[in-house]
Amino acid sequence: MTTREKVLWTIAGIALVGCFLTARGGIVNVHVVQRQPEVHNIHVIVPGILVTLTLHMVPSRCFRDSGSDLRQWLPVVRATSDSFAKMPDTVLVEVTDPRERVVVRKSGGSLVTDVNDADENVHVSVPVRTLRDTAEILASKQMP
Amino acid sequence: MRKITPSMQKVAIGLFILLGFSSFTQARPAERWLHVRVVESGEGETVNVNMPLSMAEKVLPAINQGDLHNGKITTDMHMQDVDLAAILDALSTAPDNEFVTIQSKDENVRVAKVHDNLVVHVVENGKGKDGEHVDITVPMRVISALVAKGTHEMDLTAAIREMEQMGDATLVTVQEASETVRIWIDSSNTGQ
Repeated sequence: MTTREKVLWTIAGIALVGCFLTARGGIVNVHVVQRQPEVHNIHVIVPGILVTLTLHMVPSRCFRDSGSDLRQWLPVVRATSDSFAKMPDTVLVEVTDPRERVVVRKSGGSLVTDVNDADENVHVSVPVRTLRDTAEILASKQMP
Repeated sequence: MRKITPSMQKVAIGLFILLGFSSFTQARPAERWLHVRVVESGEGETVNVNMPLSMAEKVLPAINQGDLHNGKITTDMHMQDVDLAAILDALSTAPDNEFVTIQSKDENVRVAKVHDNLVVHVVENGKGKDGEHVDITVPMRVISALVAKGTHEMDLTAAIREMEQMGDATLVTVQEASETVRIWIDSSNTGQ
């Protein structure tokens, strides 16, 4: 095997592992379209695994003085995410008024929030697995 | 006669397990959903909440905040020497009856037991057509599960478990001039 082939195989391997981890952790998708007072279109797509990996790298001392104790809410997060996994895709909360529409729904393995009003549209989709992993990491980092 | 081979036996066992599993999954009761709908006619605001009861049953015991622990709310059930648990226990064993009827200039109140449901009906008639109408219908078995005898706790998880066994039912309706509230249970996840 030539050096060129070794490099190609390594890149293919990394891409494969990356695809696997991305598929496992899902995608965090944030899309903000602002129409007034200025026009902005921000679209951020991040693999959920990247969020949890980044949190792993943040020093624990950054979370110790955060004030809120996440550990007491961990059982709630776990129970919610377990139930969420078994639930069919559905709208959980919908608030509509003449100016604004807010929808929180389950779509696939993600919790999706859409806020639409005359000035802006906000779409946030976070895999429940990422939410759970994030809560677990933050709680573990809060431990003295 | 043809002999049954081991491979045929394996196939038969596999089919038996598959059929058994599929009949088990088909026999599972449909998921029950709690729906809340608030329609405010003044502001034109509508709020819809859809939640599977199984989720509430699992999440509530996980919350340990304030008076809520393990799916139970610790409460002073002996308010002013009134044993609420004992009263509700007596209600659950009593036959269908009108327990409270108040008719006044401002409002009419009716508390009754009808077909094993506790029915509370309040009509505010002091404000003409703007008066508030409140209807609450809760099965007695849900109330009995909620108010465990001999304890100072309200067992929300047990009440939800009982609700999961209920048929489609409207639990609460509140109607007033500017707002309508409806809380009900059914098997639809959309609440339509």
